[in-house]
Amino acid sequence: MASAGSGDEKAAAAAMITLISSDNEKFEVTEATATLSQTIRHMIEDGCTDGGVPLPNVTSKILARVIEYCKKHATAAAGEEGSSSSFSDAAFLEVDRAFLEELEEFDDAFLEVDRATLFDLILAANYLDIKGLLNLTCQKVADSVKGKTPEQIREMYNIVNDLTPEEEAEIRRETQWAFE
Amino acid sequence: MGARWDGIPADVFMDILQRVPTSPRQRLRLVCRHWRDVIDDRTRRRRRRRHARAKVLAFAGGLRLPHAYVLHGEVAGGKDLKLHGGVVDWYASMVGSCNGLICLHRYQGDAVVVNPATGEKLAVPPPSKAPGQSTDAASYSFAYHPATGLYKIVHVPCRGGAGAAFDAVSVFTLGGTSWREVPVPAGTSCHLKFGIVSVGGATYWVAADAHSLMSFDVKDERVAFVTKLPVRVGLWLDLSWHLTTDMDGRLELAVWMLEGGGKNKKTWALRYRIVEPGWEEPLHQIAWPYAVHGEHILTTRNKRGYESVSLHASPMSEARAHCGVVRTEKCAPPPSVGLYDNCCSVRTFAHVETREPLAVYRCNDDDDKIGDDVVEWSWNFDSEQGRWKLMLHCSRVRSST
Repeated sequence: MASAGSGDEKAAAAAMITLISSDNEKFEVTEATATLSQTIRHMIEDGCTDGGVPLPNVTSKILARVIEYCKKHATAAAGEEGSSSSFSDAAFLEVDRAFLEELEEFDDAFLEVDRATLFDLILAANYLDIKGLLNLTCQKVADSVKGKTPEQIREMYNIVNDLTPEEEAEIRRETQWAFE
Repeated sequence: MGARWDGIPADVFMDILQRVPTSPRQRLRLVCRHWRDVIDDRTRRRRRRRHARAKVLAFAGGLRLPHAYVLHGEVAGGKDLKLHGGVVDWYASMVGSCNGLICLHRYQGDAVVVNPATGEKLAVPPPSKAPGQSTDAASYSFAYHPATGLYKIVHVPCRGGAGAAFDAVSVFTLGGTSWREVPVPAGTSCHLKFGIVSVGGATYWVAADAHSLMSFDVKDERVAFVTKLPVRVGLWLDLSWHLTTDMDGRLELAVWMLEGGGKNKKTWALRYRIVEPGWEEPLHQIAWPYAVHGEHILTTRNKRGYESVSLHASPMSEARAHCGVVRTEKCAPPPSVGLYDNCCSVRTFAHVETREPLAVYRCNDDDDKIGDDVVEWSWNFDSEQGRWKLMLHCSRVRSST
């Protein structure tokens, strides 16, 4: 653990931040992991993370998943920085590619969740402003509606069709070619 | 769980829908009111934003590899738009710009749609099945239908000036695999000298009689007679699609606007009258096809003896004071906004920057996947399969230490 007041870079990298979920569970993470969230990064810059960061919009179950994602991707970011100076080296490129593939596999496995969790992850990623995670989860939802009929989408997400027959006819008329 | 969608912030919701290609996205308006409203609202806002952000794009070509420049703010002559590897050849010319996507016509008669902001490109085969049959770039138009989000390239099969009647126009839909022939009413013709313009979901041209305005509806794919032009156009004037009259021995250019929403309620309204320096400065002319940018009239001037073209913007504020007449020679010389060397023609377009992906318009065919490493490509017609095939020439050169 970093000693307080140290200006040393290594110590700063290992500085710990406490995140507090809506159900009051505490998670201790490295600053590198936490700053994948722009929201938390700003809090750290403003110096208001002492005594932990309360996240009243995120449950412990979701926060645990979000941290899992951030940990993995923080390592990836650090890896990229480390290898950038010697990118011309073929061996390093090979290592990078293997790592990227591993990261992709991680992302795929990470998204194997039920729809409710997926939506919670989107809300958390949006609130915490984690671009990569928001990108990943939004794409997953977009993929789920691609190629589906409006009926299938309503069924899948329990959406009530509140369009009147007239409104429906109007939309069909406007977008006729989309139903070919 | 239906409530889950309602809890998603509007911008995140739109981010999700943005990832669905335009055509299926329009269909998603049928899911429920909330979805319809979010999609409609965003379409409206984007359209407004686009109008506000439109910049002048100058496409300079003729004496060297063509370049496209986007004019903005302080940079004289504008920023050189990166048209990524292999996109332009010496004879490439610009067909049009829709929502930040640029359509270029290439030497072999094929086309390419590029998003300069992302570097994505989409190869479009030539419309003719006879290889090597080059067509005039002026006979193409790049059109967008706002309500449906559909992009199409329209080719009117005529050459040179007043062409003979034809029985079909060729249409290529972005996302499709081949050109289609769309039959037109008997006797339909086109006078290429006035150009072809696409606006508000339709493509317009003037018939060979130099008096009838024709339109192609981008959505319904119907060609129809729209109206007679308010004045008969003098064929000897080399003034693209603008309408001209002669007054006091000067060339005067009148910009008429077709107004009105309903299909049959369109009327012509005289918007500006522009006095060209005409006789005194024959090489100074109104820029085309995009002539009026905000409060300015764009003009181009070919420098005699120098192989260069300068672009000028004359403020129209003076027009108000002169009964709607803009006199370009009033501010002599009109403020120059760009000087392009080694070229003999500059065409102007309205351009916006977009991150909208082109990938969604790729068909399943692997042929049209042009990566960044592709430096040149050519089309070959496969008569057995009855379609064009793309041959790619890649550069695999990698920087080494």
